[in-house]
Order: sequence, then C-alpha cells, then structure tokens
Amino acid sequence: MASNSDATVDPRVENDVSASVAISRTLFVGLLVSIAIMLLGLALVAGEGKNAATHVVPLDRVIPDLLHGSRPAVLDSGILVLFATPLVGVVVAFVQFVRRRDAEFSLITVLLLVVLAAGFLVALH
Amino acid sequence: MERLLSLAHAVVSFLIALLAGAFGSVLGIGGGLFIIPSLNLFLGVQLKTAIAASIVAVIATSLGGGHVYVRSGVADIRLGLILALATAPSAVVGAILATHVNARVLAAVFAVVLGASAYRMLASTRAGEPSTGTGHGHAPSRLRFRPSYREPSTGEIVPYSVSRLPLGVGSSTIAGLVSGMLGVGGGIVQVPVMNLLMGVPIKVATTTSTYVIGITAMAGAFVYYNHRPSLVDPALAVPVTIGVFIGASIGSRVLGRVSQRALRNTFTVVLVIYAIQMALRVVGFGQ
Repeated sequence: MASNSDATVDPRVENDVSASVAISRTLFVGLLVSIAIMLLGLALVAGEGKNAATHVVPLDRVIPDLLHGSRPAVLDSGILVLFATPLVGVVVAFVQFVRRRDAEFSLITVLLLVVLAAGFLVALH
Repeated sequence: MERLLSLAHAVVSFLIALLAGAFGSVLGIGGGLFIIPSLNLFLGVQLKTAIAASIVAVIATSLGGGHVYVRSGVADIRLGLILALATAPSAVVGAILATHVNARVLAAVFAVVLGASAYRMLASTRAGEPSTGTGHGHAPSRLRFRPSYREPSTGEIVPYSVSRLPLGVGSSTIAGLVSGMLGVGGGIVQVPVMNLLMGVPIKVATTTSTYVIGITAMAGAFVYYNHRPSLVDPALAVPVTIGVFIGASIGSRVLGRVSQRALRNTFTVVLVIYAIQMALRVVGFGQ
C-alpha cells in the first residue's frame, strides 16, 4: 500500500474526477426522480379527495399496490426511490473503483454494501 | 373539516421544512435540528414520527448538496465511503434504540444535542472554524487517499492528508448513532471528527459529511420505515422532504446577503429555546 503523502500521486486516485461525475449524476438523478414521484403522489392523493395514509404500506406490498393503482403507494414509492439513491451511489462508486483496478477501495465499497445489506436485514426483522 | 385540517397540517409542515432547509443550508447545519422540535412543539407531532420524517428529509438534503460537492471534487468520496462503514451500522443501532426507548429519553438526548449545537454555533461565530485540519503531526493513513483538493473559490490546490483513520472511523460511530436516533445529519459530530481529529480541511470535512449523511440516514430511515406500525407518515414526510429540498436549494441564494453572524446568533437563541423546551418535556411539562 502506498502512503498518501507520497510525492507521486497514484493515477487511480488522480483519476477520481470521472468517478465523482458518475456518482454525482446518480445522486442528482435519483433525487429528482424521487421528488417527481412524490409530487405526482401528492397530486394523485389530493385528486382522490381523501387524506393521505398516515403510514407507509409494508415494503412487500408497495409494488402490488402500485399495480392495483393505489395512489398512496405512489407516495411510498417516491420515498423508497429516495432511500435507494445513496445505495445506488455506493454501487456506482464500486463499479468505478473496479474499472480503475483499485482493489483496496473496491473491497472497502463491497464491505460497505455488505454492511448496508446487513442493516436492511436487521431493520426488516 | 378533517381534510382541511390535514391539508393545513401538510402546508405548515412544508413551510417549517422550507425555512429549516433555507437557514440550515446557510448556517451549515442540517434542517433536522429545527424541523423535529418545530413539528413536535407547534404541530403536536409525536417525537418519533417527527424524527422519522426528518431522517427521510436528511437523505434529500444530503443528495441535494452532496451531488454538487462530489462533482466539484471538494467532498472526499474515498474518505466518505470509509466513514460510512462506521456511521451506517451505528445509525441502524441508533434508530432501533429510538424506536424502543421512551419518548422522554429521546427528548432528553435531543435537548443535549440541541444545547451542544448551540454551543458549537456560538463558538464558531466567535473564533471561526479552523480552515485547515489540526491533525497534523500524526502519520498519514496508508490507504490511497487523494493528496489535495481544488479550492473552488480561488482555484488553489490545497494539499492535505488523512491521519488517525482508525480513531476517526471509531469516533464516527457516534455521528451515526446520533443521526439514527434523532433523525438529524450528525454533522455536529462528523465535521469536528474529520477536521480536528483526522486533519482534514474544514471545507472537505463539511462537504464530505454532507455526502456521507445520505448513506447514514438511509440506513437509519429504513428502520423507521419497517417499524410496525411504520413511523414514516407519508403525509408528513413528503411535504417535509420537498420543503427542505426547496429551502436548501434557494437558501444560499436568497439569504446570501444576510449577515452570517446575525443569522448564527439568532439561531443559537432558537436552538437554546428548543433545548429548554425539550428539557421541560423530559421533566413533565408539555406533551
């Protein structure tokens, strides 16, 4: 492993610019999509003339409810897209490190994905 | 009538979040510190429901700021991903704790964090943040971090190195715990850890913290979402999230000319008032 105080900059580190652009784009698009879905959900729920549900539907019911045309499920899916965006950002970071053959940070990113997956499993139970 | 009340509730939640997002973006603190007590004290929203709405909004705040800071190269994604190894699992633990403990315990912890935030804001107004890291003199990490960042305002290349990584990662668990438990960003812990402990320049520390907060909050938010019954109330979380997003987007433009010092002093007072009101709840005053 090289020290980060080395005079010669590791090209894998120097080349982080395109990785930053890819991650940034993912975060931005995810945010816009989730906000758009939430606004659509708000409009649909308001158009229905009912109050929005006070609880989100369970995770396993979101897609079936969407397929059955449930308007509150649109709101919930906007929230879930928002949740998914930082996770997709980590996956994009992993792909970028793999492409740069940066084994050290590819491993760290995989470890983070494993930690996040474990967190989801704990939350589900 | 009930529908009108529900609509008014959503509009007020949106406005609270809009203001919190706008002022939070200028003051460099997450909106959650203002949103949660405001929803709780003014709208009577249960503390745990307000926390769940806030943590959803924190993800949007992080994505909104993080994508800009990552793209500009100021946020250190390598450092951020390593710190997230500690903050994400501790946010899950914090969120699980929050769903199980009595609301009074949560209010007590919140009062302490509000008080600490007020103190920190006051201290930074007086002395200013150390712009460069203060962890120098310690050996840099052996991991391949970048050696510098480009300061956007001047174009100057600012060299830095990341030191005391194990201590920084370990201390970041507190940031995750606070974020998951209270639905706030955790920057109050994360930024000093990076700046004072790890020797990272303040600008890199704040922007990296904004990026990491999204990953941290997402891990904690999932616990609130999956709690039975779910603590995420879409009728509250969605207006709050959209409000914070719009507020943070326009905040620096609209409030850019207002004196930072005046804003900081004003919000220090607000934080102290909220801390006292939260503390009063702990001892049985209010709901």
